[in-house]
Amino acid sequence: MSLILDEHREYLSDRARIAAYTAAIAEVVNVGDVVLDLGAGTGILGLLACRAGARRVYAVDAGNMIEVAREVCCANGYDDRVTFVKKLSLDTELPERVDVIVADQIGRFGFDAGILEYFADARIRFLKPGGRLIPKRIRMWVAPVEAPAQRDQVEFWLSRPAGFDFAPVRRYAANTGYPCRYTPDQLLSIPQLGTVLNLAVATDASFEFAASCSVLSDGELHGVGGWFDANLSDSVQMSNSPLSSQPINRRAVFFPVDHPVAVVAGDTVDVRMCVAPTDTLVTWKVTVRGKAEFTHSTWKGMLLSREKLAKTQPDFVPKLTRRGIARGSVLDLCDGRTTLASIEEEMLHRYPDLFESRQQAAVFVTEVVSAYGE
Amino acid sequence: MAELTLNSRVVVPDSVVAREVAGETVILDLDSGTYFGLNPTGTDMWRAITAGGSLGDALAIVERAYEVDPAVLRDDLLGLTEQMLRKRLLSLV
Repeated sequence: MSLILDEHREYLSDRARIAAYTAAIAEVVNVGDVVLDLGAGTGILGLLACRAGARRVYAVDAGNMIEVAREVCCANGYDDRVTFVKKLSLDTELPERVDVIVADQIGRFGFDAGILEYFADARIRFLKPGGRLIPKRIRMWVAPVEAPAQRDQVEFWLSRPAGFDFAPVRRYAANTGYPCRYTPDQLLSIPQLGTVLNLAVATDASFEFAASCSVLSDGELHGVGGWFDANLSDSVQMSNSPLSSQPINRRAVFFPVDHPVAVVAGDTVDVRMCVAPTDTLVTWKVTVRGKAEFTHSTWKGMLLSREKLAKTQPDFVPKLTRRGIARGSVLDLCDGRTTLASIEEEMLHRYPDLFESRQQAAVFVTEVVSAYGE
Repeated sequence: MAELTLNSRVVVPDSVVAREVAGETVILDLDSGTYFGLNPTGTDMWRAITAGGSLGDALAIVERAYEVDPAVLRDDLLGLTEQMLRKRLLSLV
């Protein structure tokens, strides 16, 4: 079974999530509306919009799931109402503006699955004046947490696997956000609101927020927990908060601090975060007043090689590899007249050093054409 | 911009984060989404400048590492700091 398919099975079997979107779409979508389903996946949100009376749904998704979504749509008799577009929404043009944009690109912390970038673009280019958004608002929450299992994930790199020193990796591990499912007793304070993302005006520009958390009980600070709640409509909220009575089945995030800090009731933990949504970069500065201060960033946890870095230097003079040259040939051959079969044949002829068979040439050509051809 | 002297102190803004890769430093400004690279010498200067002391303290650190005319080092260090301040990768305290 495709892992992507199984991921979607999990989304669809998340009753709290489905119930929230069902209720919100029924509330927001009016009979006769035109709806844009961004990152459609299985197409479930578009189907719910059809059920709510949408006249037309544009289901946009760049992945191959869109073919599955088409079949599901047909199986449910809505194929006359749903138009599928296999593209990134950023590259998509629609023939009309829409009344509603719906998506679940919220991620675990409210911003990390692309919703700010995609909504900002779609809102400007596709939404009618006065149009509606699902979700309309997302709130990001933080709390200091005691999370020994997640801390162990960071410390693992000091454990000398197979007797070797992997300590250099710990620096990366300590600058990574981890998926985490918290129980309420792991929260060392009442969760504090980090920021509110009003999707009617939000952009994908960087933002920052600060929160002060008053520790409620003695414990050991291991990091900061982050999660979201989203207003899908005026009356429907969806959340992965550990304190939610009906959380969706989506883990929150654990942002570690370099070493544990013993905290007691009454301590104050200041959390400051800077977020760059388009690169999914988060910097977190955690201060336990009078005790410790930490600064971490997923930028420091990102895997960067010296080879890749060298290619970013202003004085670097790039030249094409043999495969790069071949790719250029495919693009040149996409002249609006030459068939795919002819392009494959030509590539096999021109680049015998790269392709041993027609099949190998075909795979190469297909990769290029599927990305840049139409 | 206020005149930069060896008594000046600078800090790295919250929105700026630096990391080292193979002896070089890559600085990311989250606000603008821009990257800034430093070679190994620049990396040593950046470390000294952001160590928490004054620029004079930073110069003393760098002087210990490089056998170069102190006046040249001073100009280089102040020049780099001024450049970083202009790019908002550092802030004057």
